[in-house]
Amino acid sequence: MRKEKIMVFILGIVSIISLALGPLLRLLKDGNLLPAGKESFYWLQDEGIYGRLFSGLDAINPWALYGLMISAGLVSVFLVYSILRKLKFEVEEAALITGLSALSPFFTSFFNHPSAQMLMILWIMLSAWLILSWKKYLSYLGLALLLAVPLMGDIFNAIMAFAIALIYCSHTREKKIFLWLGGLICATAFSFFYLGKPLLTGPVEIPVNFWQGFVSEFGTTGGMGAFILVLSCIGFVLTWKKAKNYLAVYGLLLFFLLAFIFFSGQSLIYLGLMLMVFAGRGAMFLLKREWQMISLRNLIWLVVGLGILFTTLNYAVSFSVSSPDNSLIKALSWLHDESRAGEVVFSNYDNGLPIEFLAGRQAFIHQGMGKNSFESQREMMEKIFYSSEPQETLRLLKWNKIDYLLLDGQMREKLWKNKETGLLFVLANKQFERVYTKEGIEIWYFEKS
Amino acid sequence: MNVWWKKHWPKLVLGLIFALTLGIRLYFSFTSQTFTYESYFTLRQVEVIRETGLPAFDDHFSYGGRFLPFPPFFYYLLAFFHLIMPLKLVGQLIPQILISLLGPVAYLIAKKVTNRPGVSLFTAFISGFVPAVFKETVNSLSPYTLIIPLVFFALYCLMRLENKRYIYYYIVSVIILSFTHPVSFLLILGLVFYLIITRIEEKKLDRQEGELIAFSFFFFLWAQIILYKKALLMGGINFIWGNVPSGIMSYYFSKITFIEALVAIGIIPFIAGIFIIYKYLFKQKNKEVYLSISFALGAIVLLWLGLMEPRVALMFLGVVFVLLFSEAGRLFWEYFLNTKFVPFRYLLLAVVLLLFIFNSIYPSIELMKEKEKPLPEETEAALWMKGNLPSGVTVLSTVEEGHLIAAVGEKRNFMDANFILIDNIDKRFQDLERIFKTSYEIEALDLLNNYGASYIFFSSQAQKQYDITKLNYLGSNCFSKVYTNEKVKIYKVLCGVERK
Repeated sequence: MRKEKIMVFILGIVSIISLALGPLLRLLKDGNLLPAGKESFYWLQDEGIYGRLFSGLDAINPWALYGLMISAGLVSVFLVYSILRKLKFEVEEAALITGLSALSPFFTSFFNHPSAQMLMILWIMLSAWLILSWKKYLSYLGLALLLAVPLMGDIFNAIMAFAIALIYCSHTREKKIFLWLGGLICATAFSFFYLGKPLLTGPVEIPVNFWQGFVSEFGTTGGMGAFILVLSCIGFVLTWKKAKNYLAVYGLLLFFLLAFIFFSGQSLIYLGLMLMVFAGRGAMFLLKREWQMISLRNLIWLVVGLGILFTTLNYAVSFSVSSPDNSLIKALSWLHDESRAGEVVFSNYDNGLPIEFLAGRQAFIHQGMGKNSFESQREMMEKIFYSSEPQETLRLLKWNKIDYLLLDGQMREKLWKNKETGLLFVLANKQFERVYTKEGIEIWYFEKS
Repeated sequence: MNVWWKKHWPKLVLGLIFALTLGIRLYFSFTSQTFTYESYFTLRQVEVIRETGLPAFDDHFSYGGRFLPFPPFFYYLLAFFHLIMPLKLVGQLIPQILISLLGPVAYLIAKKVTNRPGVSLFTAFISGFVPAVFKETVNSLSPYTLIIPLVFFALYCLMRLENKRYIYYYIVSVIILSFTHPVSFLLILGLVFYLIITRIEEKKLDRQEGELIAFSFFFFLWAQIILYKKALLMGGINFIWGNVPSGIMSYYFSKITFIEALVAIGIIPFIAGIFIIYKYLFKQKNKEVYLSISFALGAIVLLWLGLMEPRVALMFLGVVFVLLFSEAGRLFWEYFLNTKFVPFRYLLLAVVLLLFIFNSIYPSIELMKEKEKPLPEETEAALWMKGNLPSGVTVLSTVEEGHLIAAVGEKRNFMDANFILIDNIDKRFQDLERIFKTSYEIEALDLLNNYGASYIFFSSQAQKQYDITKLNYLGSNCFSKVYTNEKVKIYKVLCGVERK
């Protein structure tokens, strides 16, 4: 009992540090607590309940928004631990699984960006925790909370809710419980087919190579750490002999893996949680095994520990430098003050949502658009960027009613290797006037007449 | 005296073999005026480490300026010796000493497998003359001169785990290999195949072996993440394939035929090795032989996946087959001693030795002579550039000459053999070829201006590579010859292309 209390205490400290490290580094670097990433700006501008909640908190105090996110993360961590204990995992294994989750970028990134997904994960964890109390009325309350998931979340949340209810029903084998399953199916059908709720919410995802989207070390800001993946593989191999006990986890793992590969990166949170079960098993194996050489065991643990911490630190540093940085914030603030409402700003799609939120101006392209609109705007954006015919570029800019062009350093460096073609070349024309240039950001005014 | 000789003769003969191998290598090393092209990258890194204490990860000369991550241990090792010796002497001496240590390592492995000093000494002797290894390592400041003996030393340590100090030797070897070159992944992959083969063959794995293999894997992974963190974030998983231009990849693979590969490995070790692989995979079981077989499999898999160049794979395969040959040699010798031809055993030894001279030693020397390296005139021209061209200019040359331009000429190169993290590498490679081959001045000028190249290093190497005798567009006033010797001409680009 005392051992468990100590473990939970350590888990709490590790989780707080992991969840708060990225925002803290960002605060130290830029001196501001503005949310980061497209996900944040998408939900801050959401017209539904989530947007009102997040933007309301942000308006009261930026600390309040981060307070909500970190608290949600912390509560989720404790709920995961508690759920694992209720599923009869040993104290050490439950603590390892939860601790590894808390240190993983896939988990931390969900609680560093205000989003509907963040609250839905908390909601689902809470439902599962209530269900696993195995007390009739608390379980029914948990199932009732699950019924609300399809109405509030996306398709993956609904599938996870269904999976939890199905596992509970197959365990209890009470016939009445199957009514809940039926209720969930009806709620899902009602929400996505009758009400026409989109299957997926959140900003448009840019397709990337599987490994680049899955493994943190290959460039994604979320994702799984390489060492945790190795531990998961070890755990997977070890559990294969007792496959019957892990059938539900294997099934969910396979489902969410296929969903991640073919459908959406938003399934990563559930995929990650399934993988953590195996990672914990792999870690337990390394911990409990009788080693011939204790020094070698310690060396391996040192390397694995450093590898995991390295991933956590890497994520925190990436988060701290993620867009929008101070230079972009200042540029957008200037744009807000100096431009008129209704004017259109052309920039890379990464800057689209910050332009809309911080400058309050219409971005030519942003990831809050529907997928089809985004793709057609993206095609147009590439034509404008890479056109070798200046007259054509001018015509496209006029036709799309562009008033301003916002160029950052990354755009200039990455997109235009050749200074003599593309948008940079066209800016020499008299119709363009550079109205802002500071810290690598340029804003050009385009005189259409 | 007789007793002393009986006890120590293998060591004396091994010492002689080491001295002979090293002597031959040093002969070629000291009689050559230049190193291989890629050695100039090493020379530059050693000099930079000597001056600044750190390697040139932010390389101002390569591709006009770029970030280049690489494991630095080998360069630090040479820089250490540079503290007490001139750089040229370090380059000529230290790598040859390192690669010559392969002989004693091969002896130790062969002795462990066969328990026969005679066969083991013969293995040590022929390991010094694997044609693929000889070709790539004489006159070369390549990290492979350290990696090859160290990988096989690690293998030997795995065979000697009953002695605790070999466990520490193994750990140190893995640490050094992890920081020397990513091709050390071959050790990890070989060990994974070893695990699989021992499992299939129902041979029990020692707990210590399993623990050391786990340590190797985790440490190597961690070291590569630390070294290549920035590159992985920038390049993603494609970074692992080295970003080699497709034009060069097809050149690497089309260049080698089966017969050439056989000659590079050594015909007799190859045949003997195949026999041993067959015998011990399908008829008998021997864990120590499985280690060698696993390495061969690892090299083949990496070659097949395009993660290893054919010339590198042939080096490792050549050594593995020599080690497998030792077991074949033992079996053959034991068989022979039971035949009626036993009085002719010394004649047989002489015949085998002659066969090896013709099949391994002679091809080693011939292949080594074929290895491309800069002519003295090229280094002379590069030295001229150092003193006479302004700093910050970009010089166009062939890919192989890129390191020479950077290291000796101290000028920015257009392209060199470090392809990783370079955007549009295929286009760049094609443009390089076009600049050399085009007949149109406007096309050449357009491409040269595009990349900011203001000088062309036109050597006999470029002529041979692109099958040209001259640059066809030099007639106008847009190019001025600023340097010439028998093999190299350097042209300055005087014009630009205006776009409307």
